[in-house]
Amino acid sequence: MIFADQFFLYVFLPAVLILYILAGFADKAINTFRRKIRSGRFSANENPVTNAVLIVFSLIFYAWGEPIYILLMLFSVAVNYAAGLLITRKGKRSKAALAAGVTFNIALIFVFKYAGFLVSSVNSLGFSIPMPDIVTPVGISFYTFQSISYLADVYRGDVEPQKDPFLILLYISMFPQLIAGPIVRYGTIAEDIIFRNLTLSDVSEGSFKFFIGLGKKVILANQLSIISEQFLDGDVGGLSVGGAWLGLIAFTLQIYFDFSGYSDMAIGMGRCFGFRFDENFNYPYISRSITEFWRRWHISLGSFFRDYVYIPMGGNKRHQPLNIMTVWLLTGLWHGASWNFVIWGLYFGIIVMLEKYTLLKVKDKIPKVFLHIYSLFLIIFGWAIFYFDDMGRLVKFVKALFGAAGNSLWDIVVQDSLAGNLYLLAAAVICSLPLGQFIKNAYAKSLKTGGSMSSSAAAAIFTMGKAAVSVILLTVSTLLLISGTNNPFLYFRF
Amino acid sequence: MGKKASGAELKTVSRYPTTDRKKKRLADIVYVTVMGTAFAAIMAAMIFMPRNGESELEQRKLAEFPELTSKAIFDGSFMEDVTLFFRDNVPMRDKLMNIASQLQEYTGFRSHDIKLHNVAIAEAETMPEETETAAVTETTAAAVTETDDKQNVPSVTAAQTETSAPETSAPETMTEGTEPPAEDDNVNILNNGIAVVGTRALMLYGGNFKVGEAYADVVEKYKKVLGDKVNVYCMVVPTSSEFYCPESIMPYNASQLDNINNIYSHLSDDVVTVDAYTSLEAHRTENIYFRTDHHWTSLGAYYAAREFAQAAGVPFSELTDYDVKTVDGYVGTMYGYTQDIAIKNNPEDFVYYVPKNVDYDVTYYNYLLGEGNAIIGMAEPIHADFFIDFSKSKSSLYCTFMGGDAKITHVHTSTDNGRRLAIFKDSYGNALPQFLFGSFEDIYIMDMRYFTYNAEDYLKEKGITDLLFANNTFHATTRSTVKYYERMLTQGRTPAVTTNAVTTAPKVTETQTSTPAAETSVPPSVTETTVTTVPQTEETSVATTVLPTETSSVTAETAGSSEIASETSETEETSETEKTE
Repeated sequence: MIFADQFFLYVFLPAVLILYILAGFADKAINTFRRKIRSGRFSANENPVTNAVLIVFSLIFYAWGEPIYILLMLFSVAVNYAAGLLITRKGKRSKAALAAGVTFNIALIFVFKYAGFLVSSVNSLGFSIPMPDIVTPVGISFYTFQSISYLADVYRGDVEPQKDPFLILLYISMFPQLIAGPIVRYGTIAEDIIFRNLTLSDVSEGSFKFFIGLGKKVILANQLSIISEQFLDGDVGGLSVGGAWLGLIAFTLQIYFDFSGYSDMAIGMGRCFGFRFDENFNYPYISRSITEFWRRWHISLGSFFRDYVYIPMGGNKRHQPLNIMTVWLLTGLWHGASWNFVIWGLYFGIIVMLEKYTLLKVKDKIPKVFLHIYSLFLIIFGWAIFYFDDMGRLVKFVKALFGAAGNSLWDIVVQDSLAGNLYLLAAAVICSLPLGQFIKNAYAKSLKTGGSMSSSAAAAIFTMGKAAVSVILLTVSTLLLISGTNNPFLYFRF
Repeated sequence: MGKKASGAELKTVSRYPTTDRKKKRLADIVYVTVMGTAFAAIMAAMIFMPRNGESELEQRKLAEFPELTSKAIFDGSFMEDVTLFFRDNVPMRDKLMNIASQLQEYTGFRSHDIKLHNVAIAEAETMPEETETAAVTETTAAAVTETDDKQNVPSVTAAQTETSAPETSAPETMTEGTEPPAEDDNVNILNNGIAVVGTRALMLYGGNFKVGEAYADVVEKYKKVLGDKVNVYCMVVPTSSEFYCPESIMPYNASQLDNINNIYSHLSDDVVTVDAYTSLEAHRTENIYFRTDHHWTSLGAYYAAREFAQAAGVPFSELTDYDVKTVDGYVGTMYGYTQDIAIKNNPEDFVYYVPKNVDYDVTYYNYLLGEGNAIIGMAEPIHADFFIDFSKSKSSLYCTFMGGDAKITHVHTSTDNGRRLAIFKDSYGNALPQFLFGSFEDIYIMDMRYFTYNAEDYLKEKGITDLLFANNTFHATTRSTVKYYERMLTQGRTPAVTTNAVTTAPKVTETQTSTPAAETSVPPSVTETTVTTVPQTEETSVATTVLPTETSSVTAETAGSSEIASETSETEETSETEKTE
């Protein structure tokens, strides 16, 4: 099931919300009762009914698209639950349990995501191993990584192992973050799972974030995808230079709004249920270096590799270049089982490494505008590598991009598409700047200092503005969802 | 007052002083109430409002709620279909689509009043290719989108549905677009996209000399098979993009004249070529093509028919011999294809000409269509007017002529000159026949996509004296067209074609006289529905009229006939029944 879809928005989500509210009353009653009979002794889980609702709907959510693979996910949860308990025992057994648990997760993702890629790569060297017939289960890249982070955190003593298997199931399967992230750490929501105090403010801010995410996905990303597909899916060898750039820039904006929109929807929904996930994007396209870009893009993935690969390997203390390249190789591969992702990862690995020894040392002396141009160019070019999993097409496209294919600079199709989408592109560029941050700050300032208008008036304007934006985004998104039939999330199989 | 807030204070937005906390709470209450009400209202509308079940705009049935079976649950198809149901079968779908089209207009502006839809680089062919065509055309089709040329198909072009977003895990998705659509071969024609110029939509032409030559060859084959007694005419009709395409788009629009000339130059003198091009070009300032539909108008067809009548040496009635009928508010297929609001907002008149001075009797042999327009049998022949009233279903007005494509139409006229005409055609041919009622005593109109008899046997049995191939340029250079015509010569050879139903054709039986009303009262947009509501008296009558001629070996080996092959079992079964009778 995907979020930006009528069935999810208007059937599944309302059903969850209604039952969740009812379950909230049940929890309240249970807790009052408990307090009465046990005078002050609290259960470990204060939300048994709401959690049950979330678990049941999360399983339905997953089974909706993958009725068979749900067994795989349940199996994975069972193994990780057991491993978590074993890790807490002292001594060697703990280390062995960690090793076994992590190996299990890596084996799982390897078999279901990379086996086909490995076989076809080996076969390209002249072997003929039969291709395994495996469809990658949705969300496997996310839930195996969450499992690994849980085991590692338990081993390090950062979090207590969860003794209730259903709560581990809830952590892994919670539907807002199940299939496309963010990669939530157990520690982030360990508290929320057993005790959460859902306030009106959570619902207000969570739902607003959800609508922003929906708008990013449906209004911006889906519309931009029409441009990128038009230029990148056709005969790339015959593209004009302008067409190649327009298509690639459209894709650059599309993938950001697609993925960050999805993250926003996940975070917003989590908030509405009383969970606080960390932000996953922080305006990546305003970065002044590639190093900075990767601190702002898909933050939960970057910090995962930092905490569970880079630092354990030695960080900047031992063979740092090796550590960096390993992390980027893995980052590339994580995005997909194909050679272009390997190249894409290494591309950024090399840039980050070079920056470490050059740019970052002299950064303050270079005018910001050059840093922006430099970063954007490398980011945009990187998306070309990301987009084409066919090397032949990639080479053709890059030639077209730099006018090396002898094609024209401009043609009527580019002109038509640019004119026809000019306002959309402008809106997308503006929305990739920290606009919301700016408004929020201005609002906070007006509340603090008063300024020219009273703080009540400012609050009224701000609130009505927020409400209007939400309603408009929801309405327009619904209309566009109806008119568009093709609506896959880019990060679905990752 | 003048105190400047520090950066740290700005960042901690959520920490308000106690007085502001109340304000914040009030703001939250207001926001959640407004947002929640709007959400609930849209949700209620989406779930509880009546669903239409079909889209007039897209000319198709919308997804239905699936049946709940354990198998459907375990293979996931139930969930998929439920999702599709809510996505597709939306209340007020067509109206909401129109609003969405209007919204999409705000993404930018039209440069020079032109808007392109899926226009891609044309592999403009000025030279015939040397290599095997099948391979070449299909690969060049990479940049070319496929658009349905029939009326009962979704508006979305294949390019939009096929090229899913760049799913990185599956390398096949990238190549998918370059592969020929195997299944929908019968309804797809190659084109270079659609350009909306002002208020006129032009489907841009890709052209293919090699396929055009194959088309000429197959026409030639008919002439050989039919011999000297039958005159064979070839009339390739240009479409609007040839005459109204602005200079700036020409690189994406191949010359139809070159392609027509190429076809004609490959025909021997035994086949009479009909030059519709010159007279259409001469009248280009008149309304000879629809602006909102991919067809030509009656007027355009009239000029072409006049050209044909001259070539055939038959009498021809001037326009004054016709009653002019006009239906306004016509918005044709091009809006469905492009969802371009400039088309929607500029409807046009649908004009047709009813012959005054000639009597005629029309018999329809409708094909029964199943899933995906598969032919699953034939209905009892019915008598109805040549012109069917579609004024209630304005986007389908082109079906006014004979009610659509999936049928064989026999027109018996009061003309008495011994000339019997057969027209093999695509939908362009639908607008032609009424101009020839005074020219031939019998006219048989057959769509190349819906003809299950053996062409040679059929034409000989009907005593055809003149055979006209009337295809538009797109179809004349599309490979599947050639395949259809080739198959028509080889299919159904074994048993004789005659069944009771066919031989008793023009006589009206009393039970059937009511059928014209039945046909017009049907929700008229979809040919399928028109056909299926035709009264069927008994099961046995179906058995006798189902075509006994199809043999599984023929259908299976013919490419592009999956729709027939899939139903072979049923056909065989019924022909069994007939044999035993």
